[in-house]
This record gives sequence, structure tokens and C-alpha cells, in this order.
Amino acid sequence: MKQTLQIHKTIFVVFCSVLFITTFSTTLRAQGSDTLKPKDILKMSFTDLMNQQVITASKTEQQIKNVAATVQVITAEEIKIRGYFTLEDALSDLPGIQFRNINGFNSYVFMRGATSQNNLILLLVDGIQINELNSGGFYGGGQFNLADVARIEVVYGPASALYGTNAVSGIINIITKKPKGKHDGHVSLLGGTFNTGDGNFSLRNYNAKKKTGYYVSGMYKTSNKADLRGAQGDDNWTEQMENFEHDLSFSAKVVVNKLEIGAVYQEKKSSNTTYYKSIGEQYLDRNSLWDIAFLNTYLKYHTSLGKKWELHSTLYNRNATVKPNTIDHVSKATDSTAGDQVGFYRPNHLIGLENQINFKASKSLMVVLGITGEIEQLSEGFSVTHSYSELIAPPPPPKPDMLHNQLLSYYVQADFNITKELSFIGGLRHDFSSYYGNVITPRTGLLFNKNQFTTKLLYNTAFRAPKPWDYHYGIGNSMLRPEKMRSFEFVFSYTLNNKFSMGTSVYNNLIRNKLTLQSNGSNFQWVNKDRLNTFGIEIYGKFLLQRVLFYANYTYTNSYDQDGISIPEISAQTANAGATYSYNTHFKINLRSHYIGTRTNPYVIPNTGNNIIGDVLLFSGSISYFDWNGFDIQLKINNIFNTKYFDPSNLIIGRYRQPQRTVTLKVTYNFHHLFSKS
Amino acid sequence: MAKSIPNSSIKLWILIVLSVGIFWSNRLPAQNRESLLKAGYIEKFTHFVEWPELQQKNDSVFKIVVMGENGLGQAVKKLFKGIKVKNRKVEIQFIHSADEINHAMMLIITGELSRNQLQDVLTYTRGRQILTISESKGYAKKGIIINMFKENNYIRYEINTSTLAQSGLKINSLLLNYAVIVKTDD
Repeated sequence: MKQTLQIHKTIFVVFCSVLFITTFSTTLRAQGSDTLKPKDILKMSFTDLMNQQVITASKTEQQIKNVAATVQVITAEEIKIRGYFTLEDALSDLPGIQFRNINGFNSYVFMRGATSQNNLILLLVDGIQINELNSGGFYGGGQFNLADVARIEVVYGPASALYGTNAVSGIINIITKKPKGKHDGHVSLLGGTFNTGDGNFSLRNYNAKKKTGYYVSGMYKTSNKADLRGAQGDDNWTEQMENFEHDLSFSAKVVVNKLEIGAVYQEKKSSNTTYYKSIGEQYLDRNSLWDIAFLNTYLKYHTSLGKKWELHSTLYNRNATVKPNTIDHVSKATDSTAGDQVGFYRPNHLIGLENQINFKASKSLMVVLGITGEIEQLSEGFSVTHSYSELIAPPPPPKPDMLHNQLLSYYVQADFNITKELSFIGGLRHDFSSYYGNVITPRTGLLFNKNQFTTKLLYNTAFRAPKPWDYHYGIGNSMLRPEKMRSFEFVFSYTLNNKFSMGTSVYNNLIRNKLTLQSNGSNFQWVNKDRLNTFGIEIYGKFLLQRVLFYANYTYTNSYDQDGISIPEISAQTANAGATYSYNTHFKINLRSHYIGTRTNPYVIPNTGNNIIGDVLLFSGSISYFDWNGFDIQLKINNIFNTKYFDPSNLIIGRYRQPQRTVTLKVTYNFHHLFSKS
Repeated sequence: MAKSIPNSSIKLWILIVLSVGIFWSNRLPAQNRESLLKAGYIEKFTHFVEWPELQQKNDSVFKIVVMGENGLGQAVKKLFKGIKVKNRKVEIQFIHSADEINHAMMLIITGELSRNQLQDVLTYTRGRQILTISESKGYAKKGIIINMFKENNYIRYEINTSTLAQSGLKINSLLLNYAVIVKTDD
């Protein structure tokens, strides 16, 4: 009780201080704070300019140099020219990102040296989380319709001060295209090796006079991803193994004046064979099916309340259900037994409301105030059924017992321009959950922008709350606390013009109270035990030389635990480099390379007898011809030299063979060509 | 399951906010974001508009005239400083009446003009290859070619296609795609 009072007292003091500054600043000779400069505008494309708000805001629209974090942006043009196929494809060219791609029902993304089941990164689609509700982790893979994407913003470092739980290593915000412009859209078909296929479409229109518009899109994608049969897959699986992924995605948004209604549906149907080893084990590598569907629906409303106030209100509904036709695995202990197909079902549901007020107190001070309430229903665990036959599908599992949770959060962030060049950002978020209690996460930073230079000095914090089932896992542990991270970061960047830019980020992250599975004989439970310390450097740059745009980045990561032992699966050094040659606006050639240094596997790899995964250098590329009478044609090759390489594994599988050379051909027809004629 | 809070760091943060705020809050820079964004639009418009007559001329100067009183004129001056339009050096002239428009390729009306002033401008520019741009409600319907306005905190623009057709200027269809199309009031 004493602690709770203290929390509220502290928050009250913080609110008072922000209000005090707000009031104080408005009485002064406020002349303007915006750091937008003519040269910034000249560098923008027309579309960029159309996306500029008259008033900038935190957690809405800001220039990267004014954000209290390192931010990398993947643009729609990069997605198009490089022919990214999955989310991981798009992330692979960025600094500070590593992977454990199991080529199965999921794929894991590690940011800044922290391994996880994707639950240390918050994945947003248009600002709304799409992390799976029960585990808190997002799903990697092909279910994201990248043709729909206007840009992907990757925010590095902790950000719970604005976003709450799971925003520990960073945030990936997929921002999809909006209804704008007159009739437009596209239809495209892709085909390639490993039975890879993709068909997608979009259609949009906006009537500026009536302020109404719509955007609809759909996608079906399929791929076997790699040849993992027999020796190709390190003899983990048989020659008959299945390894498919079928993805379905639909999205729709309708804009009526200040109101936006939207829905995003993603369904991923995948074999679950790579999660289990079938040679020498009881598992079979056929007939499994992991079927998970994500549905986000939302209603957004924003309005200006006078010149200084803006209200953004979002009512959202999230669902991330492992569907009852899921067959987690098929097993057969011996040739004489009947075997078993095991069905899983895990429904969940969340409804939330977020209200955010952006208050431009003066031309030097912007304050963001937000309050979020969520109610969720989570499965207590998987509901499981058995068929007791390797050949017969199990009956659909019944609905499991559900847990009901509530969350109330509020946050405040002040963005204060001390001088024309120097600004201060401070923020705080208080989360109160019915199952993990109170968590307060502060952040602060100093930003300095002068001429072409930007420097940032940042202190950010974050947390990952245990999920309800973590408290009950094994013998249970009711004393679990959230994992917490604090981060110090220094960022320096230099942008000469639109032809040359470079930057570097140096950081130190510390995750405390890491959840660790502790076993005592047959008893096991999650406990808050370990620490993860990371020191890292990221260097990145872009350079346009006549018709060739070069980019390169290098990452040094040193992650170690409380005993000073290096964290497995993380390479100390990675680097990416690439170039796009534009003969004209139509014909472009792109070549990309990735270097991943040596990694250690958590366990000894049976095929090698050690736990070392060697370094690798990979090349990918594409040749594209855009807008030939409305058609785009693209030939893309991943892993051009068919290099044999592996990702680590935290499972009994020793290591994961990565895809061989993959060739795809894509043809797109853009409707603007048709509409501009009519 | 209530958890402890890092009180000391929060208090330190509050102290920093207060002291920094008090000490520095009278040192505030000046800039007008809205005007700068509008100036940015004007610069972008020049990429999407063709002045056929200009191709016949050997002028080394691209002349912009600004009429009216508000911050947009200064933002335009600041933004166009040192850049070229159609490979020509930009000359910006602030004027007070339609008579001073001569030989300009672009007229920017900042804020509102008196009814007579506006009528003079429309009369002078009608049928000439002068891109007229304004930022006042209803000006496109009155005959200005491009009028910028604010919608949901974004800058948007309308194009009067009747005046445009009369002017002989060529506008890229991409610019029309994003515009609200209007016709002159009869």
C-alpha cells in the first residue's frame, strides 16, 4: 500500500512538473521551435511533403532526427526494388538485426543482441500491436503483405515509456498505404523455385472534396522455403518431409473525414515439422499443420481542438488465435504402434481504447498525454486432443479455460526545445495490470541538431511482463516480476544532402530479472534470475554516386550474461552492403550482400561435434523493369552462389539449414496506367 | 504484485526538466512550419508544371512575384535561396499591385487581397502563362490556378482546371491526381 501511494505521488509530481513547464513556457516569448528547415523540405519527395503534418507530434509524426531513438526506415521503394518477400527479408539489410530462422511455423528476430521468442520486440501494423496475445511474441514469416507497405519504421532500443510491455529491444512499425490520390491499385503474380508463389492486389481511391476514401488489398503467398530433406537438412528430417507455408492476408480501410475504420487479417498455415527432429526421434515430418490467424480491427478518430490541441482516439480489437484445426505434431514411437496426431487450440481476444492528446503548449514545447485501457481474454494454455493414429486427424479441441485481464496505462512525454538546436525529451508511462501489477518506465534524452549534424544522448527503459501462463508453468511461481531493461545510447549522424548520409549508434543495454526456466528434478518453474548485458556499435551510411545508390552498415554486438559468458546465437560482427543501379526510372539492378560472423549454438551440433556455426557471406540481387505500359517485371535471386549456411537452434535440432538459391519472377500491373488513360 | 519504482531516478528527471525548462525557456527560435511547408509545395509544383513559352525564351532568370502580407513570402524567399528552377536562377520580387507582375512565371498571393486587388490580378493573369498560387479560402473558385489549404493538419491544394486550360500551362497528371479539382464560379 505504501509503495502504491508512493507511485501515485511520484506520478503526480511528474504531471505537475510537465504542467508547470507548459504554463511557464506559454507565458514567454515563444517564437517557434520547429527544427524543420528549408533544406529538409527540399530533400523531401512530393509524397513526403504531403505526409508532413503542420504540427509535429510525439507518437505520431516526427522527423527521425527529432525522435529520441535510433530509427531505420525501409521505404516502399526499397521493398519494391529489392523485392522483399518476407518481413525478415526486409529487416535483413538493417544493422543490429540477427535471426534464428527455423524455416517452419515461425522465425525469430533478434535486435541488439537479445535472443528471444520474438517477445522482446513490439510489432505494430499501423500503430496497433500484432504480437500474439498469449506469448507476447510476434510471428515472422510471409503473412505480411509487403506490397501494402508505405514504410517500415524500425525503432531501436527500449520504448516502453510510450508503448508498454514488450517494447524492449525495439519496435517494428509497419505503416501501410493510405487511401489517397485518384483511382489506383495493382495486381501482381510471382512464381519461383521451392513452389514459391504470390498473388496480390490493391485498390484505392480518395475523394479530397468529400474527404472520403478507401484502400483494400489481398494476398495469397505460398512457399516450401528450402530443401531440408535428408542430408540437405543435416539429416534431421526424412526425404518425405513436408515444409510448406501458405499465407493469406486481407486489409481494408475506409476514411470518412476524420474517421478511419480498418481491418487487417492474416492467416498463416504452415507445417510444423522443423520444430521437431524426425530421424531417430518419435516424430513424423508429415501431416502437421500450424494454423494461426490474426485479426486486428480498429476505429480511429482524430481532431484538432483549436490550434494547440489534437486528439487521437483509437478503439481496437485484436485476435491471434491458434485455430482448432492445428495439428502440432504427428508422432509414432515404433513401427508397430498406431501413432498419434495431436491437435492444439488456443483462442484469445483483446479490446482496447487509447486516447492521446498532443498539446503544443508553445512553439518550443510539445506535450503528449495518453491513456490506454485494455481487456483481454487469454487461454490458460493450449487445449489439446489426440487422434491416437498417425493417419487420422484429431477432433477439434474444446475451448480452453480463459483468463481475464485488465490493463490501465497512462503516459506523458514532453518534447522541449531548449534552443534552436538543442531539445530535451522526457517521458514516463505507468502500467497497471491485473496480473503483473504496477510498472513505471521513464525515458529521457537530449537531442542536438545543427546544420547537417544530429547527436542524441538517450536514456530509455522498458519491460516485458510475464504472461499469465508463465505464473502457472510447471509448479508455478506467483512471485514473477517483469523483465526490465535500461539502455544508454549515443547517436551521431551526418546528412550532407540527399546524396550522402551516415550515422553511428553506441549503446549499452542491461536486461535484469530475465525469466529463466529453473528445474529441480522433475519440478520446473520460471524464475527471475539472469541478466543480459549488451554493448554494441552500429555504423550505417548511404551514398548516391551518379546512377548508383550504395548503402552499407556494420554492427558490433557483445552480449554476455551475469557470469560474463557470451550469449549463444549472437554474432559479434555482422555487416550488410548493397547497391542499386538505376539506368533510368524504369530499369534498375540491385545487388545486396550480408555478412554474419561466427556464432555459437546453445547445444553441441551432432553433425559437427561442436557448437560453432561458421561465418557466412551471402549475395542476393534483382533486375527490374518498372512501368512498361503499366507493367513491372522483376527477376530476383536470393543466395546467388547457393552458399550452404545455417542459423542456430535452441532446440534439439542441432542447427537450421538456411534456404538454398531461390529464384523468383514477378509481374505487376499498375492500375494508374489504366485509369490515367480513361 | 506491486513492484518497486526507481524513485531517485524519477526525481532526478523532474529536477532536470524543471531546471532546464526555467533556465532556457526564454531562448526560443523563430520559424513558421506551415509557411515553410507551403513554400515546399510551391517548390515541388515547379517540377510538375511546364511553361511552354519559357522554352522559347533565353531568359536566365525564373521570376517569382509575391503579393500580400504574411509569412509565406519570407518562407518562399528562404526556401528558394540558392536553388534553380527550370535550370534558371530564381528572382523573387515582392509587389503591391497587378501592374508589377510583368514577365513573372509565378505569382504567389500570401494571405487575402482586397476584392479589387484580386480582380486586377485575375484580369492581368488570364490567358497568360503565369502560375498563380494562393492560400485563401475560395481563391481557386475565383480563378487562381492553385490554392493551398489546411485539412486535418496537412497541407492540401485545389486546382482550377478552367483557369489552367486558359493559361496554356502544362501540369503533370500526378499533380492533378492529388488535387481537389474546381472550376471557376460562373
